[in-house]
Amino acid sequence: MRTLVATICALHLMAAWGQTALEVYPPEFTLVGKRESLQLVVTRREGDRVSDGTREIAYQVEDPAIVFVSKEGVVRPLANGRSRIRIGDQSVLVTVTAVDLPNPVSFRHETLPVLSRLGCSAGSCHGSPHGKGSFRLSLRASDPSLDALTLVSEELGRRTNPIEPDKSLLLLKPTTQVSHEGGKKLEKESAEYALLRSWIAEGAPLRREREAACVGVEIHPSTARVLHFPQATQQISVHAKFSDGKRRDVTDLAVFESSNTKVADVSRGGLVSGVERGGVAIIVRYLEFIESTNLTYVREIEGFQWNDPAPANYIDELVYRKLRQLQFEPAQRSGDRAFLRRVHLDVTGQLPGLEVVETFVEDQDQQKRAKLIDRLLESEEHAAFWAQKWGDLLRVSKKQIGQGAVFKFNRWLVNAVASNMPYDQFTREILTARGSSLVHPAANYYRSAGNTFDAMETSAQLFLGSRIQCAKCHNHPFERWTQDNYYGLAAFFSRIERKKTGKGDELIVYAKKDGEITHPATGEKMSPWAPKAGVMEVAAPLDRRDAFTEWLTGQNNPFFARVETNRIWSYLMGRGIVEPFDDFRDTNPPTNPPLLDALAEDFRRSGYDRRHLLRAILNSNTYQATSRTTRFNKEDRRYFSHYQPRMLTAEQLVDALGKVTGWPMKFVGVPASMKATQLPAPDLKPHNRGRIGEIEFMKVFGQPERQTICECERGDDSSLGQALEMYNGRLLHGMITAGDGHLHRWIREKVGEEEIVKRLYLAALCRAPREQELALHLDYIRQAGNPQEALEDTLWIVLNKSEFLFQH
Amino acid sequence: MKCWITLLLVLSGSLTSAEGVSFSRDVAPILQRHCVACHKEGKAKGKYRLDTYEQLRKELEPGDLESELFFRITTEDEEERMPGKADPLAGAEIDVIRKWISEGAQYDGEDPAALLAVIIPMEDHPAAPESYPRPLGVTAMVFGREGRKLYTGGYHEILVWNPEEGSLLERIPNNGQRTYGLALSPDGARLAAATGAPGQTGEVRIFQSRTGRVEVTPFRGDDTVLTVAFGPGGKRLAFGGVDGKLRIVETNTWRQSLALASHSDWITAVSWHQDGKRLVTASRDKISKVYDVTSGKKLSAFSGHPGAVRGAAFHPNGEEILSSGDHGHFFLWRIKDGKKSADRAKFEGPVLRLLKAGSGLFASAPGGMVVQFDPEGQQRLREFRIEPREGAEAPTVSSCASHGSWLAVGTLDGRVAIFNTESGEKRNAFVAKP
Repeated sequence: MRTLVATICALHLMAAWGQTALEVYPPEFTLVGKRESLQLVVTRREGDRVSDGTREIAYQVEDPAIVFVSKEGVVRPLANGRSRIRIGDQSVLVTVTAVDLPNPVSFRHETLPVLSRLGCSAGSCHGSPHGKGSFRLSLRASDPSLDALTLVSEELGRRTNPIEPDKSLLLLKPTTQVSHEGGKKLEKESAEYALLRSWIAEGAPLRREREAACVGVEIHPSTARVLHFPQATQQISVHAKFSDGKRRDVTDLAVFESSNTKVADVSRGGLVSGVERGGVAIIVRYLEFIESTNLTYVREIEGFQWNDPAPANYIDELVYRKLRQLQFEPAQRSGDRAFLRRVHLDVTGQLPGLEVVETFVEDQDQQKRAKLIDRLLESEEHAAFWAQKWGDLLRVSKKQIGQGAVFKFNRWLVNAVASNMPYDQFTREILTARGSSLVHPAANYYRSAGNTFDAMETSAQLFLGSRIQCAKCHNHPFERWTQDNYYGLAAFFSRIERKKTGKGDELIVYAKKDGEITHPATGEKMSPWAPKAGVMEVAAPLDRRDAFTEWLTGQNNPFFARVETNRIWSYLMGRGIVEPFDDFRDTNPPTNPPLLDALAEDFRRSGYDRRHLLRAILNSNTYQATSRTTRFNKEDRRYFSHYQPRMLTAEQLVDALGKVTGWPMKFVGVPASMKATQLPAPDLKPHNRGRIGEIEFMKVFGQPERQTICECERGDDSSLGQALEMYNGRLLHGMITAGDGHLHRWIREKVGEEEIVKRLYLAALCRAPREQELALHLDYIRQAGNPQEALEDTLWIVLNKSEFLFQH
Repeated sequence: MKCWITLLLVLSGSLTSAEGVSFSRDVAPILQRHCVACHKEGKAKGKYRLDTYEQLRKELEPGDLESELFFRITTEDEEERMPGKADPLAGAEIDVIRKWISEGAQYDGEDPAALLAVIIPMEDHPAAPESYPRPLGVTAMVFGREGRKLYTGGYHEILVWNPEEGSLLERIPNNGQRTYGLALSPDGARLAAATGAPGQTGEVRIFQSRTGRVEVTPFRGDDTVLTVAFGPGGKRLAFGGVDGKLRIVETNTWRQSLALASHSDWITAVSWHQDGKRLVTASRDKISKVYDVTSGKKLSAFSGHPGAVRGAAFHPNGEEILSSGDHGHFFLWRIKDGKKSADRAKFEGPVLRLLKAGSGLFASAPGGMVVQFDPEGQQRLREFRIEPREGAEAPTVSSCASHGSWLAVGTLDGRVAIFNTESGEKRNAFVAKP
């Protein structure tokens, strides 16, 4: 028996090897000096499957005097010469030179990268603006000359010891030989220690004569890979290219980071280990250069079978493709009642009236969902509710732009949604607004974005999905944005003049002929610069904003359509394909790139028709999927296998409470009929010193104050305050007991208890109570001494159900 | 098998040696090395201090192995275990602490409030290397009384040079690792050194200048001492360093007569008024303060420096202070009200050393330069410059000393230059490296 098993295994192995093709990277390489090493990467290809074989393959060195190869595929030089390394039927030719020559450590290319790799110069440690423990490094070694000063000469050379290098504070601390608040970061036996030690022993030189500059890095594998558990590792190698044409393997000097450690971890040496299925980006940084590679991890799920649902449109096709690959089960379509409630809340912010529920459910028209979607998209409520989302982003608040401007700007936004203004035009009207804000309300954009940097940062975050703020002071630690880019982009906004006329809230916005941006580090005058387009010269009478907007909305900009597409998707699905939706970066890749690409392309081709895009998403099975999970999709939070329930926003909740109780909340300073989901600003109520400290229901539920452009200003955490408001808050109490509310009117009209309970359920949850629920309520009401109070209690119970508080 | 038994006997023998565990000799070094960085005065993480016996006893019951200290170093739970984010203590280290607690957690020092770093028994410093593999920054220097000797800080030693020839005359051993301040008593008999190993120890050592013998070590601490100065008449010695405390010892008894928590950051310089009653401090906390040394009362403070203060000296009128530092300003401010009266100069970078001497005031400046001012700091008289080494940037001036018309300048790249302050010429230059 045992022999049989062995034979089968052997056969199996042979079969596997028989079809396996090997690829080795790089095919040839030159190692210069004794400290350089080369990380080989071996890829196995079986049919369309790839796996990493770097650690599972035998390396045969033809001339063992020249190089040594470790089990991990790291080639180290031994003597000058050439040797082939054989790997299966492949080989690598390695040339070794200069091992016998002195090879002083390069401060710029070795010492600083090692400190970065150890995490010393991370933002949470000595790289923070004030350093830690009076030792400050520039963030991720972005300022080598400052670091040179700090490491070598600051405090009279406190940190390095040229006589006994091992006694340098720089080595004693991270090895915890002297206690170190940051803990142990360095092993005495490590290559990093040896390198830092050599550098100190050599006298801590800061520059090397005629040192070639690094001009970029390349990583391998560089294209996206799908890896299958259990073969879940992937070695990454990093090569730096220098201005003299030399290449050096810097895998042992680079920093690796995983965008999502729940999916995969990456070791200091660049070995990625899969943890769970899903997509992940591995980000590699060496000096100021950043590259990333995307890996998708797939696992065979026992018992999983693809149920092959029919897609309603291209969205479903692409979502299903991803789900199938990752073996998540697409959820069934939701029922009519759940859909009706969901689509009303998403498109209009309101619950459907109880009168429309049954009509919709009973309607036999196959197209009834599509027709409802069209109808809702045309509604006034939709325009007001979606204008409010932009109001949040554009900081439309009394504090930021003044009472009068709030109404004007909001009206403009509502009209833009109602008339379905194309998104490129919408953007252009905002960014290039000129003249009086009374005539062109979009000019108020430059009131809240009140200076050059604010205007640029706001525009970048809103329209490029990039949080570029970090690059103001240093190269962005996780992104390609450099300080040069920051000031180059700012130059587009440096010639905007804002003049207050004193006539109401009037602001005149116009372009000046002068106004320059100077780089704080170099003092250089910056020309306008945009990604991909590079430096743009804009001659004097022209408004630089026009050039920016032309680039922004043009073909040369990869971000424009994607950012808005993702934003709309995130509003509807509760989560962006890129999440957070305004944080596009390599380190934060989309969970389904083809889906985002297709949506953006559809959006662009439609002429930036947002209603078209909304319609496409709303009509997809993906949007209409039930929120009920199965064992094959309950772990999914990122790939849209099912609908993710989410709590109603503050405004939706207030309106829903008003609708169910028939006693809507009244707002100050706006028409009486205005709903919470239509408010032009959150701070219209006159300031009343006497009432400071008063708890405001909507604030408790996360209504943003509109003081930042970040969607994150809207709180989405549940809190004790919320529980208390729903338990016995004043607003809810008033609504439930209101004599003119639905409940008390129905009691006066002698509507039966059973009918009242049914109506409450229908209004709040779009469904009738189940038999058991109904029996419980009726028992309670009939046994109560005060049936009126018991009915109020019943209403309170319904409003406190998660089913009411959530959109699902 | 026999081997094992022998080994066990040896091991247990070492632990149950007759004299038991000594706190200062055995326990304090372990705590000092692993715990004190995070649990000390000014940074008591978890509101817990371990830097003195008195402090650590607050949470420790003698004989109780369940107590917090012992639990924290032995628990398996990595979230709870100390030292945080680091390897656990070695088995032998834990054994020492266990035994000490079991034996009653006795203290074998004099002052339970003394820092652990101070009660750890003192050993002689290691010998300096015969010849230095690399130059060492010249961070302290002082002339001998006759001007025939120049003392500079070496590695675990003080080097004595012939300033005219640049030749090494003597090496005074058994000193702290680095020397940041050197002072000669007015009678020339004693040499005081402010020393330490960065991040680990600090000492003030008193040497007999004639014999080079260590006379006394009036202070030990847990980080470097950066500045030391004899008062006029030599009765008192003032010093300060990384712990931010201004200390004064009486030179007849070598007892500490004053210890003031005067600054929230390093004290970088102290300078006496000629009346011997007042002195001025400079600190990295951007403040310079004037004290009455008899009462310990703060008389004045100037907090208008934009950066760390590295040097301060009394104006000859006794009413004002001249101070300078990282910000490059050369401020004159009034003791009376702590207000600025003048900004005498502005250098392009840090002024690390300010030296008050008979021939005027000397301020080190960026670019390897020392600028001589008149004693009032009003007129710029002369500049002395040390050229960069080939292919390198301008050196950092890290020490100065003056004697008569001589000015000695030391740099961080290990060089010493001797200038004549009257003629401005450079007399001599050498690398201060045995």
